[in-house]
Amino acid sequence: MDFDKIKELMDNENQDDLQLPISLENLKESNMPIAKIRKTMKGEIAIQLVAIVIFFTYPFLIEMYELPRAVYLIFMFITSLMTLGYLAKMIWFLRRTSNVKQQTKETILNFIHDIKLTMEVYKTGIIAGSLLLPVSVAAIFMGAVKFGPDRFTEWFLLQMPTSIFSLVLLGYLISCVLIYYITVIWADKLYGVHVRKLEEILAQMEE
Amino acid sequence: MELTEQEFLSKITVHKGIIHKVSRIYFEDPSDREDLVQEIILQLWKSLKSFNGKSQFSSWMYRVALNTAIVFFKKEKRKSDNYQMPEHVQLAHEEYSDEKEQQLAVFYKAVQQLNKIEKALIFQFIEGFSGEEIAKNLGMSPGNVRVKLNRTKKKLQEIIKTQNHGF
Repeated sequence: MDFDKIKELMDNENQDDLQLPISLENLKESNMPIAKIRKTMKGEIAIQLVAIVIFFTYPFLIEMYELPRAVYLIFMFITSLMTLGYLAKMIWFLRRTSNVKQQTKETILNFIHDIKLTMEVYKTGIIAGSLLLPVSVAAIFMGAVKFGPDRFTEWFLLQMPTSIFSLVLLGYLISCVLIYYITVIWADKLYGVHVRKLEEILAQMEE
Repeated sequence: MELTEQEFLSKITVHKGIIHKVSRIYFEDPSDREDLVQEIILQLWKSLKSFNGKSQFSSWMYRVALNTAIVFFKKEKRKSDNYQMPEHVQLAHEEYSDEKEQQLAVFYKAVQQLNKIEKALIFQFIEGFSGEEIAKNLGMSPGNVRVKLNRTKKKLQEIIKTQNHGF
């Protein structure tokens, strides 16, 4: 194969089909992995903000006992603060990292590092925040007046037989394990796919 | 380097051949090429501040354009959009105005069967980069580049042979 000839053909090829923009404003949004992740995170923040409004309004729409309502609001506040804080921090971090101006290998390694770090912080934030969720859920259900006497206060003060306490503890641990695995699977679905594609390219360099 | 938007666009217009060739090497589908071209321009603009003028503007453009193409993943398409006829059938039915045009079309089609790194290697080789320069750009050892480049050239020749073309 005559590569000089190919070069000559490429150099002389008609480039009329390549129309450069007359202004950068007309360019579409970036489609790079990091940009996609930032977009996903922004979407998640928007969803969380809507969810927070609903979660904080709900206890005032139903008749609840005082203690469960207070516990629910405090725990939800901590949960929201943790998850939103982590997401906002990651968006800020991703804005100032990853670029394509270095060597190719360095660029790919940096992208993989940034995405993996994002995944880990995302998982930590969501899992840490979500570990408080079972308490909030218990408060909203057990503390509603329509469900009868204030069972939540007894439950919260651990006024229960040991066997019931063991069951509550077991239920909480199972919820935690479920939350952990759901978050890991979700994070992998959202971000893991980019890491795998980039690692594949890295393997092509090293094989 | 500090440039206004218009100065930047004028500067990359001078070297638009680099963007054209990278997009042709990396994608066959015109809409994918268009997306890549936009992404390259965006990344060039974002990276402009890092260009300190120590190397030629065109060399810097090669690096940013190639890195963008390597890290860029085309949008997923619906299944019905993805169906393509086997390549030997397509090539047999396409008509070209002259032999040169056909040779280039055969080359671009064959290149599509290489992976992203092989494309980067063959592109830089064709553009006249030395082994050292290719190694430096990709972050690989010169020995690894030499071995991979030879392998890629052979692979490309095999692909073209199996398509019953030879040049």
